[in-house]
Amino acid sequence: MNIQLLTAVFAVFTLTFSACKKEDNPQPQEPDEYTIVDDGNGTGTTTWKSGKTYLLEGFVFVNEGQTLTIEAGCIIKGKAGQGENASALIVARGAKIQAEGTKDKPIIFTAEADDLNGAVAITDRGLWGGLIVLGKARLNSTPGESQIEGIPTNEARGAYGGTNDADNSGLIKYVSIRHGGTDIGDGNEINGLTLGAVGSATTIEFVEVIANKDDGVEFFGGQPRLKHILVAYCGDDSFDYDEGFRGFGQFWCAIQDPNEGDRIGEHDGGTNPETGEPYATPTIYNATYIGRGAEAGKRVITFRDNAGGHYRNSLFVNQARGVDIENLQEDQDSYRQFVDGNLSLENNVFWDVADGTAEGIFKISGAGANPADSLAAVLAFADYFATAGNEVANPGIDKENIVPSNPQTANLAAYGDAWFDQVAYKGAFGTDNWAAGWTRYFGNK
Amino acid sequence: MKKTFTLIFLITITLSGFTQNGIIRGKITDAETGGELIGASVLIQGTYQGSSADLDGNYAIEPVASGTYSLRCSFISYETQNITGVQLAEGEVRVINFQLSPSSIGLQEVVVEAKAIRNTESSLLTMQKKSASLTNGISAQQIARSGDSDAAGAVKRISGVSVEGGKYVYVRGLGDRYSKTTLNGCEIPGLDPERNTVQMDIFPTSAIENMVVYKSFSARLNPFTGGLIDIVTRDFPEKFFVSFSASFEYNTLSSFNSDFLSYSGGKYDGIGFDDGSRDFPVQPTDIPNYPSDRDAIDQLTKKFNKVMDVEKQPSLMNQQYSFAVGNLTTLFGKQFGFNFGLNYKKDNYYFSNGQRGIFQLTDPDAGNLNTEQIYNETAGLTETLIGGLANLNLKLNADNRIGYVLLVNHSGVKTAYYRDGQKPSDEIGMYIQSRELGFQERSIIANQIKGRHFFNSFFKLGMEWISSLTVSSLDEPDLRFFTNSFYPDLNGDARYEINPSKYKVPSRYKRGMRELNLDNKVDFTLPFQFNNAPSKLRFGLAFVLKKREFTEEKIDYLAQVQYYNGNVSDYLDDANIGQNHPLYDPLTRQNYGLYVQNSTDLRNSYDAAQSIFAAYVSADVRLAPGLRLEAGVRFEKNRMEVGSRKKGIDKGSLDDADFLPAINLTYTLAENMNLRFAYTRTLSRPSFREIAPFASFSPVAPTIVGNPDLRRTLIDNIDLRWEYFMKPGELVSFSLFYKSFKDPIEMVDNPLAANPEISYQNVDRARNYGFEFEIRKSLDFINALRNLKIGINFSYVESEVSIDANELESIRALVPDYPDTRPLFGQSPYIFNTILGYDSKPLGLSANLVFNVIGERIVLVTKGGTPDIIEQPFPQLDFNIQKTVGKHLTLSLKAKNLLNSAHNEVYEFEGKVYPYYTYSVGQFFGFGVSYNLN
Repeated sequence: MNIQLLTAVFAVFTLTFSACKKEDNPQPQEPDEYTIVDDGNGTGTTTWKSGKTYLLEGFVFVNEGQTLTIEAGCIIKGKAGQGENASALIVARGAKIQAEGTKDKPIIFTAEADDLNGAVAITDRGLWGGLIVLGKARLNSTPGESQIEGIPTNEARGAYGGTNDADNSGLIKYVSIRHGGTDIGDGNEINGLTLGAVGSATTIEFVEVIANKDDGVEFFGGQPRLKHILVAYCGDDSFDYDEGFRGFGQFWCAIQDPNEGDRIGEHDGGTNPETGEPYATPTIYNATYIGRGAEAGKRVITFRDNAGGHYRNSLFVNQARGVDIENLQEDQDSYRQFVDGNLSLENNVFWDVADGTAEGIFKISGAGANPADSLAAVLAFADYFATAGNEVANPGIDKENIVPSNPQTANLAAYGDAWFDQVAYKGAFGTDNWAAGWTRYFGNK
Repeated sequence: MKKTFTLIFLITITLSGFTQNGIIRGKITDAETGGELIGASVLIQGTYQGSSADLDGNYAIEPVASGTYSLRCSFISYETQNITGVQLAEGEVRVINFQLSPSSIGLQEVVVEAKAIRNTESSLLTMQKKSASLTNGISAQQIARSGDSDAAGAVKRISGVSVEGGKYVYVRGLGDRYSKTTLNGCEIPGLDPERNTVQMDIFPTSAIENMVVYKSFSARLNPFTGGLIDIVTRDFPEKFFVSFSASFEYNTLSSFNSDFLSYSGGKYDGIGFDDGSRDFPVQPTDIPNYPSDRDAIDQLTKKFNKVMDVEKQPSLMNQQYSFAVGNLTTLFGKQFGFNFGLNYKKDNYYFSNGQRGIFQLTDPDAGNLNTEQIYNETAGLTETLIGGLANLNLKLNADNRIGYVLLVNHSGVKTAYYRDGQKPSDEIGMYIQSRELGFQERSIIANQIKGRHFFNSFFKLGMEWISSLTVSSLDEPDLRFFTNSFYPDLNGDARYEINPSKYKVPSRYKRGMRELNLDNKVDFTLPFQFNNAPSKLRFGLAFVLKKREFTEEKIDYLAQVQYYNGNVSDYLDDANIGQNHPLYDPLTRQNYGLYVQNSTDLRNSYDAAQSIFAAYVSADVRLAPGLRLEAGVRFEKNRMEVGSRKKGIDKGSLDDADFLPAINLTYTLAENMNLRFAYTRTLSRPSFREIAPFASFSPVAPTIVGNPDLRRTLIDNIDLRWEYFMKPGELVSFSLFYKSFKDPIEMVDNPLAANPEISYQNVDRARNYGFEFEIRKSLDFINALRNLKIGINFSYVESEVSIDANELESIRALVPDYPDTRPLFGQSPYIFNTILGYDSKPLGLSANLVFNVIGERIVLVTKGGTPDIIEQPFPQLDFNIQKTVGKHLTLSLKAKNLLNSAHNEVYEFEGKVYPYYTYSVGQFFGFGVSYNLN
C-alpha cells in the first residue's frame, strides 16, 4: 500500500472498530479530523477533502512522485512543538501539490490551537512550522543542491536544487498560512512559505502568510512566479531570497507589525560562493510594502551577497530606513550588479521612508574597495533615485487602508514579460482589495 | 566511617612492622626478554636463609638481622649471579633485583659477580629494551623526580607523547581517536562524552607503578594506531609509605582576580556538587503548548531560576591536596600489598582575550576572508576534582595472587562565558551579546578485580585475568544560554532586541549520561623451548560490553511581544511574564509576554550499546641468536548500535569482524643495541557520540552532529627502529614509520547545511609516514655537568588525504589551483619534546626544564574554498625545582607556560590569520610541599 497515512479519529467517538464492517454500516460516517504522521512514506497520492481538518504531526512530506490534492475549504493544522517537534508540510523535490482554494473557500494552514474564531491572537507567531515546496530548478550554490533550512540535514527528502528551471511543483491558490515559523534552533525557523528551487511552471497566486515567526516568503534559487501575495505581521523579513532566485512577482503586499519584524525585503545573491551563478535577478512589479515606522529602525530592502533584482511600479511606505545595496572590497557584489544593470529600482514611490531624500532612501552599505570608490558609489546610487523615475509622494495608504486614496498612476514602467498584468497603477492594489474576505488579515477569522 | 576504621587498622599493622628485623626483596628477571623467572632462588651466602621467586618473579627474605651480606641467585639453565656488599640497617627494607642471562656454555657454572647498587629509574628502560614490541615508558621513580602530580603531567615525559589541555594524550601527533589509555590493560570510559579516551589527570602518580606507551601493536593489546598508554597500578609497594602533599598555584589571569567570571549557582559548587537548585521546576514535556493554557504557562515560567547572566566573583589560587598511604605487609598470614590515595584539586581558568569567529571565502579575487561572525569571549571556569583510589593485593601463595582496584572520581565544572560581537553576514551594525552558564558533574567509579596464577605442574602455564566494571555518569542540570542583540545609536544609547531569526532564543538544557563498561579479559602464557631458547606462547580472550544512555531536555523562552531593554533580570522578571506583561491585551490576547515552552529534541536522546569479543594468539620465539620474533593475530568481533529515542531516525550501527595481524621482529645487534621491525594492522572505531544523531548546540560555534553512517577505520602500520641503550638510563633511538588508513574519520563542515554544522565523515584513504628520534643522555662525561641529563625527542610526520571529488569541485570553484590532497585531520607534522634535568642526591635538589611543541594541524575541514581551520603550535616551556629538606619533607616550585603561549585555532589565508577560536590562559606559578614517610 502506497498510502501510509495514520488516521485517528478525534471529533467522532461514535465510530467503533466493529462498526466498520461494510455490511453492517454501508455508509460509515467519515471523521472530521485526521491526524497525519509521516513514517517515511509521505502522504501518498491522495486528496484532502473540503470541510475536513488535517492535523500535521511532525514533518509530513509529499514524497517524490506523489501528488497531494487539497480541496477548497480544507483546513490543515500543525501540531504545536518547538525544535524538531515542529510540524510542517513539505512538498519534496519531484512531488506535486494541487491546493486550489477559492475566494469563498480558501485553504487554511494554521496552528492546532486555532479555532478560527479568535482563540489565537492575530499576531501570535511560531505556533507550528509552515509550508515548504522544493523543486528541481537551478541554484547558484556549489554543489547545486542544498538541504532546506529547518529540516535536519540527515533527512534526504529535504534536498532541493537541480537543472530544470521550468520545473512544476503544482498549484497553490487562495491559501492562507497562519501563525507558523516554529523555532527549530540556532536562529533557524521555518518560513511561512518556503520555495526551494521551485520552477517556473508552478502556479502560486492569492497566498497569505500572516504572523509567521520567521520570514513570510523565502525563495532559495529557482524561477517561481508569484502573483497576489499578502505577507503580514511576520517576525523577520517579509520577502527573502537567496541562492540565485530568478522568478517573477507581481502584486506583492507586505505589512509589518509595529512591534516585530526585520527587513521587508532581504535579498541575497549567493552563499557558497557568493559570486555563484546564475545571479539572483528576479523581477517584481507592483509591490506595496508597509513598514514598522520610524521608531523601529528597520529597512525596506537590503540587497547584498551579490544579489541583483528589479523592482518597478511599487509603493514603499512608513519605514525608518530605505534601500541599501552592499559594496564590498571585492569585484563582485550587489553594487556591481547595480552597475551592470542586474539591479534596478524604477518608477517606484516612497513615502515616510528614511528622511525622504534620495540619498537617505538609497544607501550603500559596506566599505567598498577604498574610500573614493565608496563615496562614488554613494553618490551614484543617490543620483540614480531620480534618473530611474523614483519619487517621494504620498499614495495615501496605511496598514488598515491598503487601497491608495491617492492612486499613483503616472510615470509607469513598461511591463516586460507577458506573464505580468498590464495594470495602470503603482503598488499591489488598484481600486479594490483582492485580499479582502479570504485572508486572516482582512476579515477572515 | 567504616572505611576510616579500616584505614587506621591498616596503618596500625603497618607500623607494627617497624620493630621487626630488615627485609631483603626484589625481582628476578630474564636479562634477554625481561620476563620474570618464576622459581629462581636467592640465598644469603653463608646462611640457610633464602627464598624463591613467585609468579611475579618477586622474592623476599625475612627477617634478616642488620649487617652486610652477599646474595646468590640461581636458576636452571641461567647463569648464577652473586651480589656482594648488600648492607641492611635495622628494620630496613632493601630491594635487590637480579637479571639472569641464559647460560650458553654446557653445564659449567658461570657466576656473575656484581656490587649492590640502589635501585634506579633505569628499570623501565630495561623493560623497554627487553620488550618484544616498540614501547616507551615512565616509571614511578621518574615521575617522582619530575614532580608531576598526576598521570597527565608525567606522560608528557615519554617520547613522542604530547598532552592536550593537561588531559588528553596525543602519540606521534595522532589525536585521541588513534590513542588509547588503559588502566591495568582495561579501558576506562572518559569523563567527557565528546572524547574517545579517558583524561589522564584523574590518575594520581602515587598509585602508579609505571606507565608504558606502546607504539606498535601486538596481538594481546587492545587495538590502537598512534599509541596505547597503559597505566599500571602499584600493587605491592616495596615498603611502607605515607605521604601528604599540598600545592598552590598562582595563575596570572585567574588568581586573585576580582573580575573572575562566574554566576550565582548552588551552595556546594565549591566542592563540585550541585545542591539541587539547578533542577528544572517542571518536566519540559509537562509545559502546556502556547496558547492552550495561558495561566498554567505563566505559573511555570515564573518558577524557573532567574539567573541567566554572568557575574563577577573574586577568585583565589588553584589548590591541590593529596594523601597516600601504602605498605607491603601480611594479612591472614599472606603477603598483602595495599595503597590508598585521596586527592582534591580545584583549578580556576579565566581569560578575557578569547575570540571566536566564522569566516568565509566568498570571492576568489577578494584577497581576504569575509567576516560571517566575530565574538570576543570572556570565560571563567572552575573545576573541582575529588578522587580516591584503593588498591589491595593479596598473594595467596607463591603461585597465586589476587587484587582489587577501586578508582572513584568526581568532578564539578562550573563555567561562565560572556561573548559580544557582530554578525555582519546577517546585519552590519548589529551587535550581539551572549551568555552561557554551565555546571557539569561527572563521575567515574571503576572496579577492577584481577588475579595472576602460575600452574607449575601444568606446563608452567601462567594465567592472568581481570574484570573491570566501570560506572560513569555526567549530569548537566541547567545549561543556560541567553543571547540578545543591540543597535547603538549616535547618542550612545542602544536599541536592544531578542531576535529569534538571527540567533537562538534564551534557552536551558538539561543533559544526563549514564554509562556502564564491562571489560573482561584472560591471558595465558605458555613457556616452551624453541631453538634451544626460552620462548612463550600467549593466547587469551577478551569481552567488552558498553552501554550508554544519553538524554537531553530543553526549554526555550519565547515571547509574542518584543520588549528586551538590555537587562537580563528585567527580561525574566515576573512582571514581564505572559499575561502580566504590560502590553498584553486580554481582549485580543495580543502581545503575550515571556513564556517557556518545551523544545526538547528527542532526536538528541540516545541509547547505545557495544559488545566486542576478542581472541588472540601470539608466539614470542628466538629465531636465531639475537633474533627474536613476536608474531600473532587478534580477532575482534564488534557490534555497536546507537539508536535515537525519536522514532524514524536511522540507527547508527557497526557490525564488523576483523583479523589483526601483528609481527614484531627484534634483532639484537649488540648487547645494548636493537633493531626492530613491526608490521601490524589496527583499527579505530567511531565513538558512540560520533554515530549518535545527537546535535550539540553552541551559540557562537557551529552545531556538531553525529553521523550514523560512519565506518571503522582500518590501518596498516610499518615501523622500523634502531635503539641503543648506552648505559642504564641512557638511550638513543631512531624510528621510521608508515601508516596507511582506510576510511579515516574527520570532522567536516557540512556543505549542505543551511546553518554552520559540523559532522564526522569517513574519507577514503590517508597515509602517514615519518621518523622519530630520541635521545636520553646524562652529561656526566663533563664533570661540571655530571648532575645534568638531557632528553630530546622529535617526530616528523608527513600525512596526506585525497580530497573527496565533490569537495574538491566546490573548493576549486573558488580556488582553481587547489591541490587534490591535504594533511590528515588532527595530524601534526612534527612533535618536539625536550627535557633538561638536574639531579643532585647529596643536595637533595632536582630541577627540570621541559619544552614541548607540536606542529600545526587541521582541526576542522571547512566547506568550499574557505581554508581549513588549523591549530597553530602551542610552544610550552615549564620549569620545576624540588628540594628535599631533612628526611621527609620536599618543597617544590613550579612554573608552567612560561612563554605565555596562546591556544590558536585559525583560518590562514594569503598570509593573514583569522581567528576561529583563540584564547590564552596565562602562566602558572606553583608552590608545593609534601611530606613522605617510608
